[in-house]
Amino acid sequence: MSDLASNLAGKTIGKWKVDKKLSTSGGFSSAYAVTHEDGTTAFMKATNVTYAANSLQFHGSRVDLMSGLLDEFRHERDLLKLCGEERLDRVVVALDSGEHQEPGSFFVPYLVFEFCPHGDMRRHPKLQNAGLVWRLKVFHGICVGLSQLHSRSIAQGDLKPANVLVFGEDFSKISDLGFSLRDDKSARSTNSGFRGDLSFAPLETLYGHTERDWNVRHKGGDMFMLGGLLAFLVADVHLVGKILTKLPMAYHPQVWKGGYTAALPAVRTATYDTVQEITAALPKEIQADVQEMLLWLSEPEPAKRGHPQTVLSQGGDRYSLERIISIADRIGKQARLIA
Amino acid sequence: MNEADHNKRVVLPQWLPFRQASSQREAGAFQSTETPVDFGPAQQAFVEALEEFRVSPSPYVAIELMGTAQVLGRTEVARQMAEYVLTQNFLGSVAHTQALAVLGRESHFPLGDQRAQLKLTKQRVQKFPRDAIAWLDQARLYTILGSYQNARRSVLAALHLAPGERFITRSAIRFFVHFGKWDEALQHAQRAYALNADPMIFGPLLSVASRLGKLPAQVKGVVKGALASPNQFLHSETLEAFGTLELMAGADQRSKPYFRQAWRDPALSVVGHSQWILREHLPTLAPDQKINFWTSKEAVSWLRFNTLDFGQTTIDANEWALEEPFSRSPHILGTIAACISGDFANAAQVAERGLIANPKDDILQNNLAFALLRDGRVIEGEKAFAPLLSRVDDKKEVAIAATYGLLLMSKGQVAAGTQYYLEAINRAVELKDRRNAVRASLNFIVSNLEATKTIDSGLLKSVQTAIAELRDPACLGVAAVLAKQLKASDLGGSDTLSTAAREFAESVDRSREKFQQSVVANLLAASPKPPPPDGGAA
Repeated sequence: MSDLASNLAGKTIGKWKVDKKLSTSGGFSSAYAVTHEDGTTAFMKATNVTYAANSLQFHGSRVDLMSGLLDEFRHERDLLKLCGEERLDRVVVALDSGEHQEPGSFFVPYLVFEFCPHGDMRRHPKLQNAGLVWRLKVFHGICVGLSQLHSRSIAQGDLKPANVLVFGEDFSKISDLGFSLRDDKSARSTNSGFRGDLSFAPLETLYGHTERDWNVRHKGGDMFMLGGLLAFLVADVHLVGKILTKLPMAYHPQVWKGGYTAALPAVRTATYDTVQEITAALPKEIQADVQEMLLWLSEPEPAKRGHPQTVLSQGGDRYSLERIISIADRIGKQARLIA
Repeated sequence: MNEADHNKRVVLPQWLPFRQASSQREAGAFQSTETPVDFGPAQQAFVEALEEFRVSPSPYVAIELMGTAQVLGRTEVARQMAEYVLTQNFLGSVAHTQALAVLGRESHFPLGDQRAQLKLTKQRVQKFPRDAIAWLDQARLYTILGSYQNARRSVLAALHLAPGERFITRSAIRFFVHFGKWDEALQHAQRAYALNADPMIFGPLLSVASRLGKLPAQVKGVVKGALASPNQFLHSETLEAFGTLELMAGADQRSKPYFRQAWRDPALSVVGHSQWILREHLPTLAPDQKINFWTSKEAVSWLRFNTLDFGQTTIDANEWALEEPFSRSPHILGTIAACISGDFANAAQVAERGLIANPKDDILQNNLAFALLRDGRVIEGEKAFAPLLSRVDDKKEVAIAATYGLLLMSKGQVAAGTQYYLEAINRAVELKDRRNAVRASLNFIVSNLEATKTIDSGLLKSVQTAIAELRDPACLGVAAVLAKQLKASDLGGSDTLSTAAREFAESVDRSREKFQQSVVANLLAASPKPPPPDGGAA
């Protein structure tokens, strides 16, 4: 079987002309720049079923691997469909989806997304020069996007700079729902732990700690990663990496064997060190607000993460982002005054 | 001069600042292993992101990769990214400090003295009131400064914020014991152990419970499990504490298996404690043990004292005191060693430092007065002795009476001074404290020689016999000092006294030689040598 998903450049798939290959992600999918018949440029993610079928390194059943891969595709497609139907303007939704097949090849399931000319947030030209006002506006947009997902019981699950796209001048959207989960009581959702990039994962995940409550586990995880994005935007810093530089080596997740609860006081003090250093570098006018936001979002105990007035409230959404959005908006305005 | 009461010593963890404590093995030793986290996919994604970066470098991607490399333990890539980040001047200062930290080039500002550090920790707990470790570090600083109530409040805050946590609990136990609050230490240890059945909490719990005679119900089961456990390090404190319990009950033989097992892979507190067991109780176990005493400043100090190298002991005890500035023991040992070395000014300074954290400590107060008087600073010595004056006639006080004798003699009141010295000697005899009787006698002979240029040959002879039998390093040290002084004195031209002095000196030399050949004097020499301070070859 030929590896069709990795070789789509130049082909026409439905109404889309595949212009060029952009990247390969773990062999299981390939990314392409595509153009619609009407001239709209877009981004295509093609799932590589052949890769799974030919995978020699996989230790389990290939049937299971392929089935899992297709299940992932179906899951993402359905989530994106839901987001599209709900008109979530701060989430990058699918413009199209389908299956492409050619003789002698496995079929290629694909998803087509809105194209972001600058790529993800890390490569947006404004990141270097526009200052805090732009950065806080981008953060505000991310908060809104996450709130849109959370209010539909969807946890994004892989919130990181690479998954934030900035359209036009400053309209930020959350992309890539590949590791997202919906609290729909399905076995997939109930049993799943953290599935995103561990480098940005909430600290408890790095220690192998899993919360029982779905919301605490997944929405709480998103809150931490949102804190990571705030740290990245206001201080050019990778939050987890920074915390680890403050944490004595004995407590590093790959060294520590005592469980997360036992590591908590050390993790907490390292987190506070980090927050203190980040905020000290900011203009005085916004230091206190940013510090509070970072403390709420990067709180090491997932059950205590989030705005204090919502996280401890009985009933309602403990991880409601409404107050966070409002404060993010206020900080953005303050930053504009001092710019 | 007198020293800490060693008859009721217990195995207690050190209380170090968090950063320092984190580098000890005690911080990360655990029995159970967590389900390992699979970093494989993250490693794969990292490799791809790195390849992408090499093709199309971006400063913000470099920041991410630097952080990711740290999470994944990819030190070399983290360093490469850090070097790259440092070349990008427009990146924020936090990114640059992180890069410097990755490269090990972080600037460390001097922390200043304890009061300056306390100011910083106060700000810290005000800003981050849920930081248990900051509360505990604050408590330690208050303890060093002798402020019990403030320290206690801070310890309780830390215990409240992190109940059952190992570092917090062990430090809290040490805190309460330091201030003599043994019941509270036990109460908090029990509460923590109920939440977290950690062997490194049970060890100090058992020590404190033994001291109070309130053994926990589960002690036999836990000790049995500790004895059978392959993780000897984790259980070493429990075994050492139980061995000590047996030893104090007079069951020397029964205690030995516990000590042997505890010493196979001992925690630091066990190393510190084991030297005392070997010196004072079970020297016969010395040939079997392979403890690296150099890991413990406490052990090194005490064992150095036993080599009769009192100058070096002063230095070692000072290092020990820097590690545990709130503790009285290194300061007491430091003053004794410095006095025997004849460095009375230093001895007084050490005692004064120890008194900051232990303002009501009689031993340190007495040693301060002694050092000052021997240094010829009579007015200061008298002032230092003032808090002890009311205890002079207490029949249980040997050292205080002897130092009062020294004070009186230093003020020219030789007869009255002699009377108190003799009173001190009599008290020690009545208390069957032969060691203190000999020390008081030696000091009396030294003082009397200085004041009257003569000696009591009968007393000198009986002290000479006792020294040979006692084999006590402090007695041997003071005796050597006295022998030197006798040699330098003409003793009023008396042949009889000169002969007695010569015989005394010869006997002390023999006793010292014999002592130096003993097992306990050679424990440190037999211990594996520490690496050179710079970590490299000379």
